[in-house]
Amino acid sequence: MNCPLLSEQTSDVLLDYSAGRLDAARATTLQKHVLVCDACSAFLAGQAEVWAALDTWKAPPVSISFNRRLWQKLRFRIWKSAVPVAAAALIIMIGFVYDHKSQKSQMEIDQVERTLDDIQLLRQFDVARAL
Amino acid sequence: MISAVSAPDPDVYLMLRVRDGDEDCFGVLLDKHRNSLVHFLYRMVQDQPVSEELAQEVFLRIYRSRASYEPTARFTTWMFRIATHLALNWLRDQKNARSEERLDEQWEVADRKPSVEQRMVYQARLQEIRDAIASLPDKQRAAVLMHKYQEMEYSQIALVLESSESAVKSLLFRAYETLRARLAHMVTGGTR
Repeated sequence: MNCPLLSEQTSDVLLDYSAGRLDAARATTLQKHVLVCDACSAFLAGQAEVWAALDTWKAPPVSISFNRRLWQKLRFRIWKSAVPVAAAALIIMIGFVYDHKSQKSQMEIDQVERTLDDIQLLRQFDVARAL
Repeated sequence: MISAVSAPDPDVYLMLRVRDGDEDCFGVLLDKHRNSLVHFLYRMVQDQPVSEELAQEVFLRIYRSRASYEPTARFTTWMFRIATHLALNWLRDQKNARSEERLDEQWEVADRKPSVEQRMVYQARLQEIRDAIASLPDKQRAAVLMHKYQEMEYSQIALVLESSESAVKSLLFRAYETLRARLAHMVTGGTR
């Protein structure tokens, strides 16, 4: 009753035969063996029933929206990963603009002060000439 | 692992194009493998919405790691490795939570509307199959599903499960032994 083909490491031949995945030459050899081996014959009969049972289990169709949902997630993740970079760039830009503006306003104050000084100097000249 | 690539894998070529920024090629891979991946995950977790969520996560991970992609194995080996990993984690987390039955969808493929009796018999038989698969240890279950429905070779299943070919043979031998004991009566005893 015990056949060397019915072990953990050798039964793959029987499983492949049962699944129709054995090449023609090996399948013919196995068929001859099965004719005289009750154990292998019983194994194959049982395995055929398992295959038949598993074949009745159909997976439901995939949702039509599968691809759309996936692309949405991909876009969202790309957008999400871009947010910190964009935020950093924005902070740098705001800092630059603010710094530039404060430099500009300081220059304007200096210019006004110099102009006032010049006017005062001119007035002093005018007073001196009048005397 | 490179030895597992016996013939040029067109999917590897597509993935290399994705790595170089070709988004259309990702779409091709998605269309090509979406159904088989979702169906594999469905049979693993036995819950349709969860299987789709997990499949989406698989594709997201593939896309996210495109820049560092190296073709060390067949594309499907890599994809099913991610899928199996996610499914096994989910099963581990949900060990005690049983999914709702969604048998109604199964009838969409039928040629004609079954009678109430036929429907009940079918549902009972289907439940037996699902229970038999669910009763298998997680790795055995993954091995059977890849062997039966994805028609993968032992060497590829071994790569996906990150174990030896010899270990896969043992897993399948024991898994089918259990299934034969639980399901063998169905074909001879059942009617459909």
